[in-house]
Amino acid sequence: MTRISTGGLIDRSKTLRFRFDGTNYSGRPGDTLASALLANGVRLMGRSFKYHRPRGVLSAGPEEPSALVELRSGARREPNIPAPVVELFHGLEASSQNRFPSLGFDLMAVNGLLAPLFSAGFYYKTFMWPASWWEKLYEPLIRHAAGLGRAATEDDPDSYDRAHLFCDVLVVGSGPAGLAAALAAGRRGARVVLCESGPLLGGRLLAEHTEIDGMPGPAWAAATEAALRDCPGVTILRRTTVAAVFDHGSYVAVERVADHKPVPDSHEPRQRVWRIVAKRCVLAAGAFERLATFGDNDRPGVMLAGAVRTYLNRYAVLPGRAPVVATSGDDGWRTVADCVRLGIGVAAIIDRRSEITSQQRQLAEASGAQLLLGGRIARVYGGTGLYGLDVEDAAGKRQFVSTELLAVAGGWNPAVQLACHLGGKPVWSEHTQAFVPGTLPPGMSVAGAARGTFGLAAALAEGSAAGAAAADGTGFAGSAPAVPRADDAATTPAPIWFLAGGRGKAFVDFQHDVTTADIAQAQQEGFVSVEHMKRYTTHGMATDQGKTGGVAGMAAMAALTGRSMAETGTTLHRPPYTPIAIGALAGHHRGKDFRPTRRTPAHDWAAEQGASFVETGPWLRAEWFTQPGERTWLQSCTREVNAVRGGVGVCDVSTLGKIEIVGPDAGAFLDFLYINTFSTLPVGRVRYGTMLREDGFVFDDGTTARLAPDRWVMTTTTANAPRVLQHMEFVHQVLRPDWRVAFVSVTDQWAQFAVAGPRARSVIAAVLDAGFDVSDAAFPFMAAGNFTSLGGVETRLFRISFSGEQAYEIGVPSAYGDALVRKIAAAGAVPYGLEALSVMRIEKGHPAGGELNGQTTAMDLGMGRMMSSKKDFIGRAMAQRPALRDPQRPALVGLKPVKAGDRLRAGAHLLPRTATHRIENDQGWISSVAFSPSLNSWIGLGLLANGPARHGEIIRTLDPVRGGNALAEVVSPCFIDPDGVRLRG
Amino acid sequence: MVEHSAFAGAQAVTATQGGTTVRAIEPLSVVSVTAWRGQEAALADAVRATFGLDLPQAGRWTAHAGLTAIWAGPGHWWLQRGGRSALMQELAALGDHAGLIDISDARAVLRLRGPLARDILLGLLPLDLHPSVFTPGQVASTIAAHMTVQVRQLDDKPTFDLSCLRSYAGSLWRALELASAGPPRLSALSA
Repeated sequence: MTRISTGGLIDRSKTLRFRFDGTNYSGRPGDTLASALLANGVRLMGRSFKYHRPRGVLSAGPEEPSALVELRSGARREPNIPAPVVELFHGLEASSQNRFPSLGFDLMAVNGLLAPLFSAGFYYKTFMWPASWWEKLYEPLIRHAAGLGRAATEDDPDSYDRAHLFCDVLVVGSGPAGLAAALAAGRRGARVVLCESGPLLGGRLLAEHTEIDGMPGPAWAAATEAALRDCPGVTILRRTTVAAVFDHGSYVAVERVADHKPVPDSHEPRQRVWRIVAKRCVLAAGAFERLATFGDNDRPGVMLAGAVRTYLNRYAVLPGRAPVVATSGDDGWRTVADCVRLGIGVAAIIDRRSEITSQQRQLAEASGAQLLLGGRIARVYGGTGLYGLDVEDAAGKRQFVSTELLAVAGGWNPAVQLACHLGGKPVWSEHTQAFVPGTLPPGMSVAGAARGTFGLAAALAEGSAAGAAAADGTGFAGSAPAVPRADDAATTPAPIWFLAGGRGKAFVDFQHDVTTADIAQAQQEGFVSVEHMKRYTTHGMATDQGKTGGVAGMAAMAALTGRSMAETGTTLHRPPYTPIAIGALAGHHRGKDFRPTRRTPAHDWAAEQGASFVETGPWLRAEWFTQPGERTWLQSCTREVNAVRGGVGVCDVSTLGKIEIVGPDAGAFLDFLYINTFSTLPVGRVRYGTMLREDGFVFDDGTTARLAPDRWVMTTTTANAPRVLQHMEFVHQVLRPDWRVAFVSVTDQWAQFAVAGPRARSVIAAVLDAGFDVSDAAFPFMAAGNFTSLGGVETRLFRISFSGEQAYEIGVPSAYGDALVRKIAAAGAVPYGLEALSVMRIEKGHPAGGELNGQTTAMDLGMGRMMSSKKDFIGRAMAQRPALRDPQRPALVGLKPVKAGDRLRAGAHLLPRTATHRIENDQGWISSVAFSPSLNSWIGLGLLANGPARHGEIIRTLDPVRGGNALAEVVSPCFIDPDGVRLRG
Repeated sequence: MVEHSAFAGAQAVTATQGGTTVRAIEPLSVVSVTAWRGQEAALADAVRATFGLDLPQAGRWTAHAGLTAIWAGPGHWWLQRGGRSALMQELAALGDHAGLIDISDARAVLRLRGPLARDILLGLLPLDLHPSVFTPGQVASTIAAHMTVQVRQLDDKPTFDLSCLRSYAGSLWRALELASAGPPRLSALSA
């Protein structure tokens, strides 16, 4: 055990039991998985991605590249979770990743010996040839070897929430700068949202030995939190990481609502994605300590010096015996000071500099350490755990030091990521020896370490000022805030520590196993730009996104090319800041809740009748109604067609778009929309119409009825309903704003049913209230009018036919739709679905989706003569283009197989009978097919070059995909009752 | 019952946590009123003279003697009464200045009332409903779970009416159910 007996923010009165790789351990509330493992003496936590190198924990935060675990088991198993951010809970189960068969002995570590093979560009070079090997060999091989952890294979049992939040000031991070900013803004009355990724507010105050306003750092953080809770406008979100910045002050944050529990409470989401809209943002995300580059810098026991302080101060854990501190500046001395204060003997202190302060000399003496000024690390001993170092002094004298912990202080990188999400590149600051935020997203300011301001007093001052300014900017002015007082001495930021030479690989990306040798190779092969180098070596492309090693890689390239850091530059950071589970982004929108569903008023009735439903956009439509004994859809569909053609059927057509149009100029408006004339239509009549797009191609079709001199109702196809309304809005608002016409969608207002078949009239008569005359004389084909049914309910009736039979469409306000369809069915109408509807429209040659495909003209569809020459209409001019009037264009025809029983296939190509099967001979395609019960044959509609002139010709229908090759006769697209006797009868 | 609920059996009052309730408001009589261009003022005068009601400005709604006017777009209002009534006939005289279309059955309305209403709506609407921003008398068109909805604040309890296309009623109910399933998101904003 390496737990320190006092101090830390852990609860020693309680014990939490947990398992790692099958072994039982115990920890304390307040621990993370990483701190608890270290407290149990576990230093080996994972294997690296490519070389399977043994790895321990490098850091104490989300930047962790090495100690990545699979957390939980079964359906809740989650891969690649950094152990330092996992809050310990009772019963926690975790396992190491990427090892085979065990963590201590990994067969795949042989990859380390094959390193030349796995160098930069390995994938690009090795798995290129032969291409046929990809599926069978390369891909399975890569998949087996790579990928780190395993995702759960079962459905996620947890729920995820998405929510919106609005504020004046968003503060990202609750370290000293963030707390000061939130307090300054909150006290002025602004609506403030403070996001902290951890469970406790305080940031580095929880990890360092500091004093603010006479209080220890954690106590000041707690007092400030209490003060924030007294500000009514302040919202504190813990365990919430701001992951992305988008336009217009929009931010995405992930709240880990229940990740710190074994399972979420009842109905509690596991995680929540917040979309935060903030007028101002103060970025106070702190900084990440960067790794130093030397041979075997990845051995378990080599840690960041700041992380060592976190483990000492926050978790009361000494991560290894007899620590050695290596520092390139003042910062590492804080680790020495903490060791001295806690009575921990330091084995050695290596400072890159040749001169240090007298205070530091005193500290060195008090720590009992050997002091090596101007020294370096020459060799690291220990595969699965550090046990010693060869260190060299300035004179090159080498000696062995026994140690389990090397704390490396190589400077800090401001957490600039969020400042870059809108494209602002970080800029190199010579003074700070780091990249600092460049052009900021609008409304954002940066305070504290994120800005490269590393002193505590300075961070507090900057945070206060930024918070006050942000509040000012949103209308909450006030006097200058009281700045919390801290008395830390100014320190000199440390330069990047790049130690060439030494034995073993020197890693600049632990998670992707990228070494200085890979950077050198990239440079040699011409990938000198950091953006190219990144992609070629995969440096900084792992889930940690190079938070510890990114700048080290740039520094390696700078050294190789002899350019400055400013000239070398850095890669751009993109969202997300830390990984987000896809499930959290999906929120509740999964399974049946993926998208909302539109249901017709007759939905429940249809379900009772055995309907199978098909999605048509958001609508659910009944496609057929399975009756006892029917085994295939075709049986049901054929029965339904026969029922309509031999008797009467009812079909729910409520999904068709309905647009009610009123006003004195409605007739002129319709004339302008449709190719044919409507203004002359008498009241009480309905007419079929076709609309073009501006480019002259057919847009949509349907019927429009005139119910009163200034009241019309238009129908559209189901698919185009919203687009037609949008088109009409455009035409009215932009082209004809002066016309007195108003229209709204009434699709949802009316439940509408087609009643079709030789007995349709008797059903309609039975359904309408008594006293209405629907005889042929009183209500002929293409009549429309207002009636009542169901005892006085307003009813619209249209004598129109899609099926070719005697047919009506009857509509009532939607609340009455269920009652109406039950009454229609009770009067003897057989329910029929979308498939039967489609079969009958193909039998009649009516164009629908397959023909109204956006590529056909009115002429193509046999409606050329409908185009009025006496008026202007949308698409008129462009429809006159020669190519659109070319008689060789594919035009609508009917197709019937020559050999009885041959099946036609939609999508098949049409070729002259004897032509070779080449694309030059292609003359069109089949757009719709159906099995026609009436003709007892498959039939089709197609678009065939010069088609209308070729009735009677035998052509070939070729379907190379499904192996179809049938001869078909070109016929009229209207297969049934071409004179329309039935629909008028 | 000849009339069928848009919410197909889900319309019973449902209590969520903390005395917050949701229920369907139906039936309603609603007429879409679109002023002819240039006739907006004449329409407003006619509405005031006939019904004692001021047509609301953009983003607002007004009510008088059981008749509610909801802004629905430039020059566009919904006039609404509870229950089924002959509202088209009642408003017929406005036809000189505007186009009138009955949409009583085109919409479905859920009423959410109680201390957790705002917290629940955080999970549903991309809209700032903070009392300093959104108050009784305001209305907004927005989206909820990929559906177009109109949200209207009625009072400070607070009470909100959410209106969607009738065919989406079941999905809106479900979305509200999901948005209110968990514990409150932010206790501070719930009051």
